[in-house]
Amino acid sequence: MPSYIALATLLDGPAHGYAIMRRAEALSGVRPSTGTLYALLDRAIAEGLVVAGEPYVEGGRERRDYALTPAGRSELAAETRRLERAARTVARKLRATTVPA
Amino acid sequence: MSRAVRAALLAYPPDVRERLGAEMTATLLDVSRGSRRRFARELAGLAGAGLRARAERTAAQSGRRVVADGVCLAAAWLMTLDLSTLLAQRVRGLHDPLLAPGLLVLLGVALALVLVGHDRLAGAAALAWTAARFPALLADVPGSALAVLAATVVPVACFVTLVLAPRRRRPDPRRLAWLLVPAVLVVTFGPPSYDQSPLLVGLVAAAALLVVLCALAPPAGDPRLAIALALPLLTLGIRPDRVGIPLVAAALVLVSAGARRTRGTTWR
Repeated sequence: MPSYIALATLLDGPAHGYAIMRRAEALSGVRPSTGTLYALLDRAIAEGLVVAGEPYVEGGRERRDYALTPAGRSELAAETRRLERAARTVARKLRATTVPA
Repeated sequence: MSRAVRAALLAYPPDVRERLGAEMTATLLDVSRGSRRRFARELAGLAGAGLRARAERTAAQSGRRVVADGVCLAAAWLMTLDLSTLLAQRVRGLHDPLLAPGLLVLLGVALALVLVGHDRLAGAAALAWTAARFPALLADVPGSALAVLAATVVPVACFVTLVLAPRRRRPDPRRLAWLLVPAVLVVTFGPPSYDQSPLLVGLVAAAALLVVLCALAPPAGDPRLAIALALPLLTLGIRPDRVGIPLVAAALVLVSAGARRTRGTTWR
């Protein structure tokens, strides 16, 4: 799920690590740790889901913008469909089962 | 603060640190701005992620490569131990053919080569050192040729592994800093009066304990460390009296821990 959220933050356009963390928090209420975020990004880059831009300095700190690739967008769409299906199933089961008082 | 982040980044493989270190430092400092507790939590998370990155990389290698890496590391540790012991004896003023300056220099060169990353050359130099000292070793323990041979088998196997299956590392002279270890060991065990500083002995013991913990602690435990620790213990344990039995037992425990993790899926 953290990987899904991290990829989803890039739908709003390329962003550097700290911006991705803030977007993730706004989207899901949970902010990934620095170590977790960069592990996710590293894996996403290796799988061709994300590309990293050239490093630049902003406010005295080194940054690099990450952007979603077409493959990353497809993966995100597929994962969204899977989650929607799962959510529909869970909602149906919730309606069908009663909680004893 | 950024110094603490740099220290935590040491947990990462060097190439990841080089590629992403500055950026991760910037992000971590931004995230934890104004909160010491958050900074500490982020720092611990960063070190944990670095260890996981190393562990994943090791687990992705074949079992044979992991074992060979462990044996190569054991060769470096054996050379460190031998050089420290022999230099300490030399410092204490002992005179023995085994302590001949030529032999010590050859061993020092082998250790320096293995540290920098020239495993094949280091293995060849270490084998030459073993061959050159063998007659003196036999003369040193008269009538126990078998014991001498047995004690030499493990180091020779490690040195041969260096030659046949060297690690794939970029040469880096900064790794020569490891030579501080034999220097500290010589200072610890070498003074003529046998007076050892409790602080230095404590440091050596703490370092050894740390290695054991790193080798055994799940989930980031590295089978290479377990193997590398087991082989010098085995070498020290192979001796005619019963004193070596606990060392051999400890070595077998470490080897089994290393083998369990090297099998891959459960460790990964």
